[in-house]
Amino acid sequence: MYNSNSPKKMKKLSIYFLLSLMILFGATSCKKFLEIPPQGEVPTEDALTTSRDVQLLLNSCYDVLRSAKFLGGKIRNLSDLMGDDRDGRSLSGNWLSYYAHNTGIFNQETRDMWSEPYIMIYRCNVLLENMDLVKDLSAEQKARTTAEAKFLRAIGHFELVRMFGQPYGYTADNSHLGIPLRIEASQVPLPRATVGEVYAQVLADLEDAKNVLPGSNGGYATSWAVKAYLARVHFQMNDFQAAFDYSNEVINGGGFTLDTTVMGRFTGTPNNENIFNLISTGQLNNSGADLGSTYRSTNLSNPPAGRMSNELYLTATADSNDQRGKLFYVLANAGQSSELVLLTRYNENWFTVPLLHLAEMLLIRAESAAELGNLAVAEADVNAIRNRAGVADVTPGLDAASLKVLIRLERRLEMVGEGYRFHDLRRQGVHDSPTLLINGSPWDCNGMNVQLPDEERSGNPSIVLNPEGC
Amino acid sequence: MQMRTFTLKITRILSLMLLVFAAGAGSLAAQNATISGIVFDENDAPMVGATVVLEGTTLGGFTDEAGKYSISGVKPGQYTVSVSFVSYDKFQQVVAVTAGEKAMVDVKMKLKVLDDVIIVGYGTERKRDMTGSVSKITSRELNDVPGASFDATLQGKAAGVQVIQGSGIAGAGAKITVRGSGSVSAGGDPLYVIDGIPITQDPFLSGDRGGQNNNPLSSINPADIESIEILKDAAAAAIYGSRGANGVILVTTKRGKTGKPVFNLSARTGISRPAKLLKFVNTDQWLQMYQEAWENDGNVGQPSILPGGYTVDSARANGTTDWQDLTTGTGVKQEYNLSMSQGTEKLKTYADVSMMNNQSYLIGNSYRRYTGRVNLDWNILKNLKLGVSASGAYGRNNKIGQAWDGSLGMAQSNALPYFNEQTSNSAFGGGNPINRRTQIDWRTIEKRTINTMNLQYNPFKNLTLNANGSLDFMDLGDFYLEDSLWTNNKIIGKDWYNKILNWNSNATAKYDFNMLPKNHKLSAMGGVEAQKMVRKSGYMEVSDVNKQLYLDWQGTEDSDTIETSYPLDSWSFVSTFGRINYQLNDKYIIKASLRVDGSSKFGKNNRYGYFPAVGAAWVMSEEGFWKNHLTKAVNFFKLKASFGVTGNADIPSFLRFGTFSGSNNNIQYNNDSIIFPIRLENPNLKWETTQTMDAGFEFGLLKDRITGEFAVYNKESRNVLLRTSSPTSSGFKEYWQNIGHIRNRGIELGITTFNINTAAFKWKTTLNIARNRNLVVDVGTTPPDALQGSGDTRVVAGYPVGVNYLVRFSHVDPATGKPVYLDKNGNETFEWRTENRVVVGNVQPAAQGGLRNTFEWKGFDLSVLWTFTLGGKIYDDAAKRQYGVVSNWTMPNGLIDHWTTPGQVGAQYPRLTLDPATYGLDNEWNNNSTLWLYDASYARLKNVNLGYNFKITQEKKWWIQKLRVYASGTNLWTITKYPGSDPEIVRDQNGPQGRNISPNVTYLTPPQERTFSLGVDVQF
Repeated sequence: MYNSNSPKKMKKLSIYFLLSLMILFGATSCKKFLEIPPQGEVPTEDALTTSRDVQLLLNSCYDVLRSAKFLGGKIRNLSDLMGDDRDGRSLSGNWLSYYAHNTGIFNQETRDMWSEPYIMIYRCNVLLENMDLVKDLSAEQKARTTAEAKFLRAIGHFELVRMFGQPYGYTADNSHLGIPLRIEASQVPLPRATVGEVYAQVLADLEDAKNVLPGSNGGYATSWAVKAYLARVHFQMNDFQAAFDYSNEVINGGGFTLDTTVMGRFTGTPNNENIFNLISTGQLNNSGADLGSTYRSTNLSNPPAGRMSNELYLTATADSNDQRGKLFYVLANAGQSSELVLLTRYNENWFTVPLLHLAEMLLIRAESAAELGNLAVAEADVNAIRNRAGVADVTPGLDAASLKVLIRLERRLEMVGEGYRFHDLRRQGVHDSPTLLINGSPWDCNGMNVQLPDEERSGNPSIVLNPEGC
Repeated sequence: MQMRTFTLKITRILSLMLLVFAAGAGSLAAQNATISGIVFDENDAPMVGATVVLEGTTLGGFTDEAGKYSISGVKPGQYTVSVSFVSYDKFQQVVAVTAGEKAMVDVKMKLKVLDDVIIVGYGTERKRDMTGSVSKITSRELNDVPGASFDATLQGKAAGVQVIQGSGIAGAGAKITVRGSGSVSAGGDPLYVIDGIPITQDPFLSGDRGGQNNNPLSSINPADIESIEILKDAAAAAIYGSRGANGVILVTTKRGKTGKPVFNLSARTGISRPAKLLKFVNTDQWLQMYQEAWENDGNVGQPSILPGGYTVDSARANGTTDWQDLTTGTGVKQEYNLSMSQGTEKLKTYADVSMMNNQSYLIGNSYRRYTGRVNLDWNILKNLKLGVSASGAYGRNNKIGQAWDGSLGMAQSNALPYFNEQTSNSAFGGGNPINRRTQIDWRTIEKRTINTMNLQYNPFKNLTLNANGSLDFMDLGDFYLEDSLWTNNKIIGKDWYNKILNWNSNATAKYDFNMLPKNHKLSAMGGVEAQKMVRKSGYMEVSDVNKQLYLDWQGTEDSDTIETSYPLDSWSFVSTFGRINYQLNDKYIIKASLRVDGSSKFGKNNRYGYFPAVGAAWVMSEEGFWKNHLTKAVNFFKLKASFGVTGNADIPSFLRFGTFSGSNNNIQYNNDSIIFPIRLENPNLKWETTQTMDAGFEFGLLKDRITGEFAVYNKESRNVLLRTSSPTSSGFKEYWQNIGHIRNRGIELGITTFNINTAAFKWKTTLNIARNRNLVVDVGTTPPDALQGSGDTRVVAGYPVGVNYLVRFSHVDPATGKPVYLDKNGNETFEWRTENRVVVGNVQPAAQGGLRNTFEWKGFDLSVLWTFTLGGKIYDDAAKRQYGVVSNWTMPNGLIDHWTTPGQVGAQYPRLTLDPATYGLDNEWNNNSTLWLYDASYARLKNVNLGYNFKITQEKKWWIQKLRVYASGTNLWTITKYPGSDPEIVRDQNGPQGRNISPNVTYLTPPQERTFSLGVDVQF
């Protein structure tokens, strides 16, 4: 049957056959065969080796800053939902939780809003810790990058602490809980720092950055941006002297001018009013995508979910000359009980989103001046905002308290939908309005602080959650 | 030499004489012969009811009480007497009769030994020699139940193999769990091996797009399958080493058989209806409930705006749209299969073509498939064989969004009764499943070819060398064509594509040591194997596209094309393995195997894994004492036990690498590129390892009238891969770690009885039942919320994998109508609080199995399959919205038993409200309580198949050799306490973790289909 003449030969042959097969496998070299690194990715140890890498990583921090989940939209929308500018009818789900000041640990919006700034902070920390290893990095680039990274880290911590903790000044020593302060790139679970500690770090980072950055920086953060942000932070702290000083410096020295129209900041065309922008360069690199999907009101038969309250609309249109009342709003289902007030500010397909602009600086300086008794400046600044909107000057010679009311109204009307309102109300609650209600709830009730997301607690089981309920 | 020639001559002369004589006799007188005799069993007892036929004639009969038979009217000639009886070898004897002769043929039947050949990894074994646990399912059992995909048809047919058919969507897959789940974050599906190649089996290639997962097994034609072997324990599966921990499913396709060409044509057509649908409210009822909720919340008058932007008046004016009626109908199914088998000693061929069009009851949903296959076996030389299997499939799945994304799911959720077909569908908060269906044309097109080549060489006796090369290529395209009505802009074409190449080659050598004394049998097998998977995927979007989307990708001139290719996914394995089988006296059997796997997924520290197994069996019925005393009652008895280690490496490919994105990631800021950290390095990642101990016995009673198998097992899965959470404030969400320990303990029983076994009537029963106790022993410090599944399932130490982690609902407060919950300590509270969630149930059944009865009577055959599940819970994740806070969802008609007046005691549901805070909730979506948790037990009449086999006589020289017609029905009757639409359910999952820990969760999942079909099988 088999080749019985030479079984030995056959045995030999078969052994060769086996051996050759094994060699075939061996030749592919197991080690090499099993080495499949991910395509399009760079091993961490090789990623940050040149000055160019440093710039590219810094770019990614800006990319998170402007992302839809952060200042490109979500954090502004969610804080506005917690204020008093929005229409609560027909809200449901996660947004209703925010509107009702009743957030729990399972809220996808919160997960995103929490994790996104921290991703930016992590990248900033990686930059800050690893630049020494980059050989071709100039002293100038290192200093500039350090300043930009600290500026961005400060923004991240500041935006978060305002959402998750009681406002600055809620306790006299600000020992109430804020957020974990991340100033090192590390995976270690951290407890929540106090609000005082977070503000101290935010201010320290901004102070470090303010004099290092140039006055103009190719679209990236400038010294004016840092100072404007310092004005915002001090204003939030009801520290009016510092707020006045910084806003004053920016207004006087930055060379910024109000645009001729009230819509100027949102048309996507370059203007001289914006101090610091989240830059968009096309539909795929659009900082305004989330604002657009929340508010875009180009198709009234299919209105967006972001709707404004009737009370706001009546306030905004009380003065028929006010361009903002005319241009900022459009109505759907007009005249019916189901009438909806919609914003028109975010109707472009893509647009650059301002993070800091001159109108805010004028309003900060106006209110700070009023607080400090410098009524002339207060009056001039508020009139600048009013005049641009086609509204007449305020009655000359008003006292500080009356002026403050008018300035706060201008703040509301001028910066509607930009994410200021809720934080303004809480700041006022701390400063001079202890009985203030926001949508019917006390400004300092538990539910005003967004509940921490489950995802943080899953990796950080001992973190203290916010008490709930209003 | 001379002697031989002489004998030959004599024989020839004699037969010539016989022929002449016979012919003469036939012409002279038509005097017929009689053949009779007695049929005895092994112990010389007469056998009653044995079938006796003369092959090639219509003559035949059955043995009587005394075991006697008699066939008269036999024309002179030469015949083959053939006697058959269940469990006995067929007896055949040639006999020549002359006219008027009374021939006597007595027969002694021999009991069939348990020698079913079982396919095991890299070889075959006789069933009686096995030491491991393997279930075999034959093609006949498989094709009883009509279905597009073979995975679902395994249900109820193998002990310890839990099969949940996910939904009623055309071509939908099943979730198969072999002996309990031992994985959490890594894939928990068994390994699928077709003709030797571990195929592409990832159900998440398209994520959970459209509320459903893609089923990669549906492109395999069930009619091509000869058998399916399920390797359940380590002794059987350890030869697949690092991928065997969750069981291995070996699929073997049909091969050509020696003989003239035989063609089989089968055709089947049928209809599909939903197994059960709930009723929903009409517009007036909905408005009435909304008004009640509105007033309960302290409002007066009418609500100013209703969901969808309607007013009460405009809603009422619209009347009622029955969205369920508009999304469901009667689906028509058609299936045609033509196969050919032929063979010579040199070359055997099996070929098959099939066509199937499978509409589900969901309007717009159908799955069409064309397949072709050629399997060749060529004996090139006496000791060199080439085997080729080549198959191709083209599948087109006309999909529509399901569950949360459209169709019936939308009809049961946010498509309100006062909406109509003009209602726009999107941010306005309204659902219109008709728009969704007609304005997005969604097709999944899969082209797939699975090919295997095998070269077998026997250089000398006892040594067999095998070399195999296999290739599985899958081209899966998910195409959306979005109408301008949908996009409010230009027509947009979208294509998510996946091209996956999976190749495998191995070589084995097997040697039988025949130099040993006869009562020893020893063989050894060794081999090497390499496998690599490469997956290219991406996304393409063309706006302003021609409607020719599926034909070509040409946009119009001013169209805008976006193409993003995702990073290449790839992994590889290199393995060596070996196995030794030893038998003494055919009754003491020892087997040992070892596999060493190296994988690209693991880093230097843990690159190679070692997976040994050892098993032993003792065929006690071969022992002398047994033969002397017990054989009459227990003719076969085998004890077996085994221990082994298997692994699981089904995790994403690149977890071990700490990387940054390169700058070519298509993301820009300020017109400049960006780089960013992606992952932290994870050099210590390694395989999950499962140590399995298995013991059991196999038996045959009363000459195999009753056969069965019993097994107990203990599976300890350690180093279980957990996707643990990082604090998200660290900049990362997750980090994979080997920290879990899961135990599965169980018993399983499979039993087959021939209850009635007469010639006229046969009744056979097959029952399998398995109980598995699953326990998470340890998950380190991972808190429950870090290991989430859908529908609030969690992984908690001390409980089974996949527990329902909910706030306990106590009752409706008679005074206020608010729901009363229990806090952690059992005290009543109105507040739903996350810290009050406790383990209240689990998704794993206590026991499950199947019961199949088959009957044969006069050409009729009937098979009746029941499947059942005992224990476990179902969580209806949609009920919390349908019955919960009134908002923008429709409500079931049954929501009548709710609290309406103060003092009302015992209402089933709380007061109606529009405000989640009334129920103590932050959010209506978090209304997760035991109010929606149900007992998952059910028994289901899965399939009834009634056939008739026409008697085909060869004398008529019909071209037809066999003809069977049948009628079949599936999911005919379900006994359950579950009030929802279907207790057998798996919601769409967006990853392996959800699939592992939330099998019994539904979220608007379309219920199973009830089908009725008619079919015909013809052989010619």
